[in-house]
Amino acid sequence: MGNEGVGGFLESILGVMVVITASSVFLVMLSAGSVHLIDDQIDRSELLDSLKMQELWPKDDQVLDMGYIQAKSADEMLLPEGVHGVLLTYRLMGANDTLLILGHQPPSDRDVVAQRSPALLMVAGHSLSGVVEVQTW
Amino acid sequence: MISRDKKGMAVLMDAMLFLVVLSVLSAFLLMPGNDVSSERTNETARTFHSVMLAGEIPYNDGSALSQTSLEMYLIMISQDASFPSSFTLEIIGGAVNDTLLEIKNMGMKAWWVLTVGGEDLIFGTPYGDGSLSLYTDLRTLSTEGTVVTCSLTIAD
Repeated sequence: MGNEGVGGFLESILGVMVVITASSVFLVMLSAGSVHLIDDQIDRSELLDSLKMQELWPKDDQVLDMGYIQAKSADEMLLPEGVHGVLLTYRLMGANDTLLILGHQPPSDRDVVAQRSPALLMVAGHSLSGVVEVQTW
Repeated sequence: MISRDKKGMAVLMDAMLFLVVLSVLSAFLLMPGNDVSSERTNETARTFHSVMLAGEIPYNDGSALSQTSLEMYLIMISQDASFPSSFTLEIIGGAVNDTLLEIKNMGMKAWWVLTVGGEDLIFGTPYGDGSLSLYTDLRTLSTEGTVVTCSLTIAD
């Protein structure tokens, strides 16, 4: 430090401050969800639009027909690019028991994105309030 | 040496100003997160309330009443000038409580208020200690001069 004087010392402090600040800003952004370290390439809106088109997800006031969904196979489902699999669960509002499960269980080594929505479910000719949940990976 | 010291101080001052500006910018950028969260809770109240009102009431005697939505049922009872009977309240409670339970299972508190004949009927437990934000979806149902209002409130 002797040869460089106080200026050199301040410059080295400055360097440390910049590193600390940059890492702090990065950590704040990470905690706020602005940056994703996990490979989260699933576009939720694209997935939900696809499910709505296939009448598997509620759209406006549409009633989901459990009979129609029950007849569908998981392999028939059209999934957007980047989505490897989907698990859809239908149940009545406030109930733990599921009415219908469509899809495959998510693999344990994958990151799963989940979404839930209230929906009117047509069950045995009755339009009942229910919930549909999707897990995707 | 003195010139280098002055330069170092100047650079340090510039850097500090830069960091202050950066911090303020970061704060502004992160503030919309709260708006997104409250928008999401508002949407939750709206969608759950819509589905609850459109769903059929739990009354399975095979009559036309067994295929009546909660919304239609509320309009029907509002046309009766008398206070809803305990049987009527039981039917309404059956249609409402599952939704309140579902919202509770999502980690939020919820209650529903039906105003009929100028009187408030409350389903669920209102939460009012002021520590949580309240989101209310208010509906006015009316037909042939009769008006009934109901609101679903979520505390989050």
